[in-house]
Amino acid sequence: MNFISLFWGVLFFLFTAAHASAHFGMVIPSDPMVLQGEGRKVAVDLLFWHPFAGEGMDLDKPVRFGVVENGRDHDLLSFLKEKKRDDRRTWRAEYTIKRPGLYTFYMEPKPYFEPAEDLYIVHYTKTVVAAFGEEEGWEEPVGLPAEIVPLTRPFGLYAGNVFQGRILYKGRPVPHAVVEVELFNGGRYTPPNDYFVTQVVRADANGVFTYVAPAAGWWGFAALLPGEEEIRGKEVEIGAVIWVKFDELVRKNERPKTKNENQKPF
Amino acid sequence: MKLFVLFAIIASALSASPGTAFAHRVNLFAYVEGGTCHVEGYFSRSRRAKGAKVEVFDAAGKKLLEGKTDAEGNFSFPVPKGGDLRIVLTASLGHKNEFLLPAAETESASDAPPTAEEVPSGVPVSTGKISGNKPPVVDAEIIKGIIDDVLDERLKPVYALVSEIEEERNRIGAKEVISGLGYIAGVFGIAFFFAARRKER
Repeated sequence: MNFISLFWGVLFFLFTAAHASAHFGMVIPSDPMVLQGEGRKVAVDLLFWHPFAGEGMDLDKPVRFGVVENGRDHDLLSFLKEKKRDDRRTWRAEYTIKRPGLYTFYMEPKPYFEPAEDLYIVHYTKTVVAAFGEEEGWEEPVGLPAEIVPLTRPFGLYAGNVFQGRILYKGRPVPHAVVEVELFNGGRYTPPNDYFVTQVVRADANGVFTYVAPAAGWWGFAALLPGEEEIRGKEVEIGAVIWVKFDELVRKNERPKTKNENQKPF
Repeated sequence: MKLFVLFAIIASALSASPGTAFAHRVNLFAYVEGGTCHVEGYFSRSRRAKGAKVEVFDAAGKKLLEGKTDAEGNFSFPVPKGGDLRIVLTASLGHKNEFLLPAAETESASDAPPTAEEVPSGVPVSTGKISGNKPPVVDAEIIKGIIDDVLDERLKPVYALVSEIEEERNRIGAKEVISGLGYIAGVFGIAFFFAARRKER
């Protein structure tokens, strides 16, 4: 009898604990800025995760995964390899950058059913990798159904910088949309309480939101939109997600942090 | 008065058009293809560093050649010999950047079949577009590239199939669940057997 109540207790705890943090589609490159003299191979990780809490969900093989460079779209789905992280299914692809340019990696996941919220979740997720000094075109949408178009250059940012973006759904700005913001924590910080885990801002009447990142690391911005379609009679939450890395301002004679130090999860 | 007008014209010409471009740093990218090294000078994709000076040095710091970028910001030269190359680009107003082409890249190029006539090092090569000096012979690199592309395209369904099989293999199927349950039942069965025997005694 005691075992049964313990079982329900654990189950209840798991559900409520998971609910404290938000879901995020994640597309995280090993290096958001490729410069000369560095490795040109970029490993891109795909996850479906609670980034601050560091708890994961299984990510099925995405419906679409690719890279857009100078308006050209390259399908990279066949390059994905499954990778277990904390016993969860995640995916990784390696891509070699050969030319200067902006490389936007994007993913469209399979709809994920979240029993705790009784809805399906589809997060269109992207991140931008800049190569060899090129930076033209970061302000252009790549054409995802739901997308955050940056108003702040989405790379080479200091911790403490502002980040602004405009939310588009089917090509139109979404006024007053809710944007959830989380740090890919990697166990570095403890929140004072559960409110701090997910930061929340809303877009203005033009679909523009603003956030200031208080610490270095990868920050995810997920604009949540009620989908127009239903899947098997259930609601669908559409997410437009962008991942942006902020770095510490380093003093002249200080030892610069190695790439991975800011980014413990990898 | 005339002098003043002239001065004003010159001043406005200086401050207006080119000024904006220099808010950016100048970038330099170089790569080797079929024995030719291509250099690109650019502020961005659409703003190229035109007529910028390009100097090429070997690992010991000896200057091998120099030239100027064309209207597209490009400059190319035959790879002189193996070893690291340091390429320095100087745009007007002293905006400068450099690119280190590692030996691995310059040497892989010299493995390729001979392209144009061997160019003695230290001789400046014509500035301008790539097409001018290109030999009629199709070199190994290009053929390799074409084959890679074709294979990639042809094998796409195979890649997809392989990753699907992989996916299937990693999924926990009904079979695994049933065998797992069976295993648990077996362990408990043995435990109950011994527990029951102990009670009988």
